[in-house]
Amino acid sequence: MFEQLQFTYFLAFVTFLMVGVMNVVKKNTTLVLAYFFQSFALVVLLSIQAFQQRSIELFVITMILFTVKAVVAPRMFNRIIRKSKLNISTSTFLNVPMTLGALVLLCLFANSEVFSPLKELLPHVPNISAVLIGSIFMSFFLTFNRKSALSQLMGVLSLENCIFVISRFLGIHELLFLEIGLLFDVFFWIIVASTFAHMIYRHYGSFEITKMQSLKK
Amino acid sequence: MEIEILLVTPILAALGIFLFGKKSAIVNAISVVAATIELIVSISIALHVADLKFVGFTSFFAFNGLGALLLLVVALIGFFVTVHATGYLEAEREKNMLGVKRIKECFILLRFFLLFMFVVLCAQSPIMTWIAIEATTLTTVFLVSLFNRDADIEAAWKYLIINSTGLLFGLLGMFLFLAQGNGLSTTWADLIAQTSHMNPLLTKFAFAFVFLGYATKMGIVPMHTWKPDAYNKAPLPIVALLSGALLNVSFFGLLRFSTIVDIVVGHMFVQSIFMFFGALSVVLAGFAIYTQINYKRLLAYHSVEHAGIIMLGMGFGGIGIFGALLHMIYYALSKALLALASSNIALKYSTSEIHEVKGLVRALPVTSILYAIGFFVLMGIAPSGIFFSELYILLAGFGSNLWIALLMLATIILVFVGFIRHFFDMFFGEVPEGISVGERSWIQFVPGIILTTIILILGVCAPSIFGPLLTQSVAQLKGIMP
Repeated sequence: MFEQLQFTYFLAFVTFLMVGVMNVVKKNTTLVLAYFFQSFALVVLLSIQAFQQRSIELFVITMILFTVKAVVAPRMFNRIIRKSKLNISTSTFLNVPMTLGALVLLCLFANSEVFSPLKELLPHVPNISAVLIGSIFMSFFLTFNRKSALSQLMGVLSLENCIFVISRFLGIHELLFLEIGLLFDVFFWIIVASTFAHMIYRHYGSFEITKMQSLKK
Repeated sequence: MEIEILLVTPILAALGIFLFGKKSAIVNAISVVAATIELIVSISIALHVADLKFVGFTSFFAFNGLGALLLLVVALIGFFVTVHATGYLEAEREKNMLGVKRIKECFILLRFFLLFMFVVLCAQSPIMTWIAIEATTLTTVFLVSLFNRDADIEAAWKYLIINSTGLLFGLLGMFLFLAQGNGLSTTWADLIAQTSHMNPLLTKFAFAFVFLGYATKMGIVPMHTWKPDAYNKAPLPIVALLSGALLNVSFFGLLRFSTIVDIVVGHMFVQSIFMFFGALSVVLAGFAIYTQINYKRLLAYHSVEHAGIIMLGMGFGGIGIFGALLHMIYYALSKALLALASSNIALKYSTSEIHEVKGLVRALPVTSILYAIGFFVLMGIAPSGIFFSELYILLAGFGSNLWIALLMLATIILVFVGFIRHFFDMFFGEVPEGISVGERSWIQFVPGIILTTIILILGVCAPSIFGPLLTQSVAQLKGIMP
């Protein structure tokens, strides 16, 4: 039991760490790799729950989640990167030291008393709420700090991963068709967002959102 | 049986357009037939709900009073938008802005957009509500970028990222609500039944996240930044739906949670949030309207302002709730009228800059009258419906929070002055060179004339026509009725 708890802590920490990595890496392929590891951590977390509860429904959801988040999405993003030959990611609005400073501040805020009510929801896993809330803030920061449309897309997906991890710790179980509905929504979001990322590249010749100035004109 | 027909019709219509829509005439015919069926079924559902009959399908789809009321509004706007869009898109095709394939895609997405709004209104599960709301983003994002120009893609991307991020926070809030029960809540009723176990502090926390999500979708300040760009670039018939229908549907999702919070922590918490963000939206939008130079963005800020007014009505409580409900109906219909009339202006002048639109009265005689009526109804000129709804809200405000009510009144006056300024700029003067005089086709103004007639009738009779549904809605929002 203790080892299992340690392992779930470890998975939550992987989620957290990967958001940190996503915030500082330069290469787009590394960004996608970090997203893959984060998604994989979520899949493992879900598999453990499916195994513990001997739940076929959870197992089905795990399989769909694995397909959507760990197989389809990374492959799709890698294909966009290959096609556009833009392996090196664009810069951030804040430089690396400032970004790290902002991440530390966000983590401190997540660990502050403001979010203490959330600890009550997770009495069996103390302090995990700070890690999870910190991951959410860092994902949000990723969405708006990097100048690449692809990074923004990964920021939203990372935010989604973090929220899914929280839902697992909170013990949310919905009916199978609702969970599948939620994952289909995620799947279509990935398709739509990838299509738009591709369209941005076609129209602007880059993923850089700073080059998107047509609305200002 | 009605809910099944309501939910299946858009799917069959989209399938029909996909399979047989080789010519735009077939696409138009299928779309108009589907919109007519949806409207008839919606009227039937509203009548049954008004008679306190249960209208549901399994335990996951059922209409309450407010849901049925908004369904009627959404289906009505959906019908007029569909009919108007047939002419509008055909005109854009003649200008080589779109091909038949794109028109086909537009009508398929339009049907799915309406379908997901119907689902939000009847979904009995919080997760299903969230899925449907998110699905409206996914369908409309392609509608925003329909013309596929650089700026359209930019606006659509902004719309997608901001709304999706906001809604993810909404999802987090929803999980925090569900986790306070037994984690197995599948319906709104389950969630309400578990309110006695909920922690007040956590509930406030959860609602803050939910508010962030749904208010982003509504375009409440400061989460409104996607709205001016999306409205500026989306085809105007779609703006009619985004503004008139989707705003109300998103607020409906938020109100579902607010009733739960009211039970757990009392009315004051939600009312304070609604008053603060409502006032912020009204004031900022008021100034933006006054200084606006683009009539499409004007529609966007007007939408922000009215979202704020509706929120203020709910925040003031008492008769303000009744006023806010009336405002949701009147605003949705009159905004749809203004957007449809604006689409004719955009087609004629091929610009969205106010200073480039001159001599509207001569260039588009019927449209200009419709635009003026929409204009003055939205301004709340007596005896329009919005005059009464704003009066109810202000009266509630004077009793609840005098300063915010005065602020709202001052902003309404500012918006009126700003609007009048734009009105004279656009309506009078010489028609610019190269702009032909006269309406393009009857299909572009007949839906507007019928909609105007409905708005004027409802302006006086809405409380009696919608009486039972309004009474049920107020009771539900006050937690008296399930």
